[in-house]
Amino acid sequence: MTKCVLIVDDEDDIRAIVQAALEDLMGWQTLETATGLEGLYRAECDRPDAILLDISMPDLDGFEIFAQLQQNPQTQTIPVIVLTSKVLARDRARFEALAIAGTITKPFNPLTLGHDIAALLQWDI
Amino acid sequence: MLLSVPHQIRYRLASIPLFWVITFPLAVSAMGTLAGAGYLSHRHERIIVTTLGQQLVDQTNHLVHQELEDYLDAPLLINQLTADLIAQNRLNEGDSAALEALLAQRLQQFPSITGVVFASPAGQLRAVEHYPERQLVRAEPDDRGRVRVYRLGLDGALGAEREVAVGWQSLGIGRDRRWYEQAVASGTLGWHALPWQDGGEPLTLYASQPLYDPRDQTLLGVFGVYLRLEQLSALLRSLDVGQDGRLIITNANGMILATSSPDVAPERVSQGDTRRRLAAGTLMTSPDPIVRALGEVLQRESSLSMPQSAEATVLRFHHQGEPQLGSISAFQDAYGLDWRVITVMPEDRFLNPSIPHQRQALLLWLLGWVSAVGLGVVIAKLLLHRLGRYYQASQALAAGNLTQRLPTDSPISELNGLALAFNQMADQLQASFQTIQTALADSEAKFTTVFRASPNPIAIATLADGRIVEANRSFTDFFGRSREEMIGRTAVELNLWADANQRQWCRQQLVQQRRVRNLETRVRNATGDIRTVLLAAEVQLLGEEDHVILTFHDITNRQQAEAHLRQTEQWLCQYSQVAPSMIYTFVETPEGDYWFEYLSAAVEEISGITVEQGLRDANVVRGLIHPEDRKHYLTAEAHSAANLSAFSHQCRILTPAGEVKWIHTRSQPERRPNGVVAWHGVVVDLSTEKQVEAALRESEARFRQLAESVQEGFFVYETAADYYSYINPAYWAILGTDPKAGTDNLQKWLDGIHLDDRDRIDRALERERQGETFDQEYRYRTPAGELRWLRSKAFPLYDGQGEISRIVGTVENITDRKQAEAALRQSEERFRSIFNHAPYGMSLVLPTGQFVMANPYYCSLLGYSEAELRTLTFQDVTYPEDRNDDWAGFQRMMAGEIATYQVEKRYLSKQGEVLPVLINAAPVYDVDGHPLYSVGHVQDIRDRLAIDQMKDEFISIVSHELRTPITAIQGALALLGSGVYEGRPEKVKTMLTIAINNSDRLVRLVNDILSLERLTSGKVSLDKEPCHVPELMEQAIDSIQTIADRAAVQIVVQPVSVTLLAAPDAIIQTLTNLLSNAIKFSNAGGTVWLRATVEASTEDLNMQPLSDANWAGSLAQRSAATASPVVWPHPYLLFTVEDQGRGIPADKLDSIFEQFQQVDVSDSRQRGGTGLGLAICKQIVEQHQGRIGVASQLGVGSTFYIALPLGLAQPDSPALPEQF
Repeated sequence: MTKCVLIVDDEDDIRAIVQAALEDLMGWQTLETATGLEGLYRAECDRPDAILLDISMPDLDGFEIFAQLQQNPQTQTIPVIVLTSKVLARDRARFEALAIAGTITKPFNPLTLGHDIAALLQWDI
Repeated sequence: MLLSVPHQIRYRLASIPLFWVITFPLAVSAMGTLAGAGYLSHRHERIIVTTLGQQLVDQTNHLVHQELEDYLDAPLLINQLTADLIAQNRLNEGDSAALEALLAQRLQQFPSITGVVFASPAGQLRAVEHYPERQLVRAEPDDRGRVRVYRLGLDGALGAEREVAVGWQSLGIGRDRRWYEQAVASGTLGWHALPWQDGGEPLTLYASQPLYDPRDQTLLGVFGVYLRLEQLSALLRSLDVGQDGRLIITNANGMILATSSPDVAPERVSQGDTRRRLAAGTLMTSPDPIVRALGEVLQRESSLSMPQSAEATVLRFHHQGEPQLGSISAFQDAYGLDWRVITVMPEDRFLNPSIPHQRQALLLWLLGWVSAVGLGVVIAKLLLHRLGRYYQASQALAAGNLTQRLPTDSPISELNGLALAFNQMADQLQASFQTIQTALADSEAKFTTVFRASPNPIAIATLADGRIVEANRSFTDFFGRSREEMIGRTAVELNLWADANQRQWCRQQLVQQRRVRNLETRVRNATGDIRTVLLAAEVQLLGEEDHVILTFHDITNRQQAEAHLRQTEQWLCQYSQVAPSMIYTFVETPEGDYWFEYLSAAVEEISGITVEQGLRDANVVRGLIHPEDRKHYLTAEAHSAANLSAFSHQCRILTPAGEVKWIHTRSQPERRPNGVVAWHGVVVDLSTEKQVEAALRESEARFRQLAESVQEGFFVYETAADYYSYINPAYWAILGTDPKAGTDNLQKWLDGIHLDDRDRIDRALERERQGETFDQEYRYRTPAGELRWLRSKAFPLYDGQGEISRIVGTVENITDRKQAEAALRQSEERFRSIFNHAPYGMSLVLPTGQFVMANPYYCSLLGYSEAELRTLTFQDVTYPEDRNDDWAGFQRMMAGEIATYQVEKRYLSKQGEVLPVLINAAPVYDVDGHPLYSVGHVQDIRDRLAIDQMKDEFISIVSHELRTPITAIQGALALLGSGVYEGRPEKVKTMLTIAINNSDRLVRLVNDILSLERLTSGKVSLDKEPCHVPELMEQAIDSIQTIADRAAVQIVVQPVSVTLLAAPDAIIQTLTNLLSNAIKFSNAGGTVWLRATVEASTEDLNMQPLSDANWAGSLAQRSAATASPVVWPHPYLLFTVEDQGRGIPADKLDSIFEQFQQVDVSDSRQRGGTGLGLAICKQIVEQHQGRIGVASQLGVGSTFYIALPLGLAQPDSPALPEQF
């Protein structure tokens, strides 16, 4: 089953790796944005099956984006997986307090990234 | 507000007639209103007229522009037409006839021009002009330089040869060859202004057009049209600007080209003079004073003399005190013409027409004012007429005429109201007067009744002769006379006074004092009885005559007092019967017989003998005297009888019951006329007192025994004899004195007191002599030299005369206590010092949480004084959310469940600040194990928490910065390694690029982190050496030039030749970092400046321009904290790197020198930075004892400053620039 995943990350190279891992290895469709505002727009317009969301971004950080996604009836049902390099216990506590589908820590293995996402979201692939 | 007005002024104000009160303010206000309106109208009119005048001046200036454009269009058009003919080969320049015809035709077509000329390179010349007359000018190349001039008819017919000259210049303006040379040099159509003669000013204007062969572009010749500028002046004069107005045209240098001034008009002078005056004509040298004034204004305001457009610029100036309106504009065209057009008109020219109107307005103003004042006078007169009547009626009313009433028929309603109020007041006055008269009559009747019915005798008599005018019934009854008998007669006539002297004295008192009080006197009634009375009289004015109102009280009956005296005597007798002391009168005759005349009842109580027994036989009583005491008693008695001296003797008696009693007999002897001696005395039973004395003696014995055995010294000092009547053994031991050495005295004790305490003891002894108790602690040196602390307490005792007779006291050796106290005090001081100066909070609280003590740090932390804290509990200063847990832990500790209590919690300071603290508390127990206090140790952990947070943030940033490139590298390589891109080289290349770029990023990051770590850890010290600053700057530029070229950014370097003691590579790295940043944030085509300067004087780095910089590092922080300027040791080297980039937001200026603090987090990707460059620069600069800072304006650019002290240079390498 073809899935559509929205990648929100300000790092061009990270987006390129994720996109390659999901499209070339998993055969999924991906959308990508480098800013939080554009990510909110794309999520509402394109209604992806899942969102991979970076935390540290210049305009809106991942926490603010997630809060706005949850406030919007059009996007609040889209599962969100945080893709982050934040590893401190304090950061993990903040993630756990959110109603996110899961967390994937950088660096990640692109060869298993699609499977990790599917496992977190309980997708049959 | 009440103002205090002097009396004189108030009087004068009160005397101002009402007429003036009404009319004067009206006149003044009318004058003020009309004058204000007139002034505002006049001012408004002036502004409007001036504005319109300025608009007229500007329009005139614009009109000159239009006239000039029309006037100067003709030469340009002629040239263009001629050039078109040549270009179209419709005119052969070698065809002289056709050329002359064309020139004549042009002159005919455009009469405004002065002449038309053509000249070829070979020397051919043709010119047609109508100045000074219509003529043709010819010159041929083969005519040896001659120039021939022919008259020319209006029909174009050639006339006679008028003049032949050699050389063009000799023929004057139209044939000046310089116009030809300038036209050839310019190569295109243009204006050329030439003077009449060499060195003169331009008076002829040429529009010249060089003509070229269209085929080979060889010069065929120059076609020109010329104008005499005098015609411009005529043109300006044709524009009517009035006699005082001026139109002036000047060139850019201020030379007058044309003017409408009448005194320089060419028509008024000869041709030669016109040339001369115009040739010398500048604004400043003009004979026209208005033009000279204008020139002075333009010279002062140089900006006004250089207008940049045809839009008129306003000129305002004064000439001979008269305001002038003017405007100046530039007249320029595409062919190089650059003139100024100036228009000037006097402002009064526009204002003068309004003067007649102003006179009319003044007349109207006066008319209005007179009308207003006249109207006020009429109204005042009307009001005053009616008010005068009111005044007359008020005067009559005041004089008692209560029937006065006012008319209410005035046309003014307020006056009618006033009249009605006056009438009502008069009615009320009349009614009140009648009421008072009735009440007075009633009062008089009541008084008469009271007077007549009074039980006290009252009479009224005249003061002058004492004649009785009224007397009540009591008075007449007292004297036993009828009223008719007494009225009209005097007291003397009635013989009322028993004592004539008292009457005289009383009368004198009434005349002088007008009253007499409680005069005890005797009066006589009708029956002749004398009675004593207490008299009171007072003088009152009744009618118009002084009268005496008198009354008295009968005090005749004095028997009551005598009865009272007898009663008192009886009471005394009764007292003697019941008194515990025996009162007696004992009589002894010279013959030796004796008996008791009187014995009180107490004799039975004291001796057991009855009064009757004693009176019957005195021996019964005297026989009771104890046999051992009888002899002394009789001796004393005989002595008293012989000397009639007071008898006082104590002795024992033996009662019939066998009881021995002590008695004390005191009596006073009296020798009676019959020779007997009678003793009147008292016998007191002393048995009780004697028993007390015995007990006292026994007590004294016990006391002495006690005093001998106690450890405390005890003494009795006799003040009169100055010796110690008693000293117990402990006293000797305490003072270290041998009792065998003799009796001690006060001086010996004083000698042993320490000199430092001696004055205090002397003062205490002095107070003791005044009756105060002595209680002093002092040092005492024993005879053996031992220094002891003693405490002496002494109490003065008084004798019967109230004098201090002795002093009893104690001495205590308190040396051990003093030593213990000193040790305790030192311990307490140590504890107090620790408590007060502890760099952490300490508190002592009760088990209830109530504060008992708090040290200064604790108080400062919470913002409360210690006194305030004592009224609070620690729960009161605990953050509400932490109170329950904190209180539970505290109670567990106080209950002994835990030995100590440690907690991190939050306080709430008095100012509302939330303070995180670490508490270590321990309980303090009493001897029974009950908790007394809790000692708390409080640490402010704000810094620790802030450091923890900073550490977390740093780790988070580093983690992010490291993990991001590693993720990209690992991901790219994993994808490549998976083989998914086999056969897809473009994807392979993309992944490899990602891996390589992120590897570079990672390397840069690691290098920067290592560099920064080496610098901050101090493990690597920078090796400083003398460096030539220009070389450092050059090397920094070399290393960054490639980046600058790629970004199309220019680097401008301004070095200074100076030697700096520094680590060259580090300085180059710093400059390279700053330059790299500047280039990164500059737009293509921008410029970056690298400058170095030496500041050789003592500079305050907070001064401009450096005060704008945000200085990083400890020095800057100290400066901000102390708010004092930072003074840099001089000289120092200042590097500046300035760019025109996007600038830095103000809120980022303080943090950009910190690690990973970039203005925008995306900069690390887009600009290639690691976020550590400026932190490295800061470390390098600070290791050179320098400072780095930045000043920036958003959207304009940033300037980074590096200040390095030149004082570090070696002595042999001069610190100052080499040119110094």
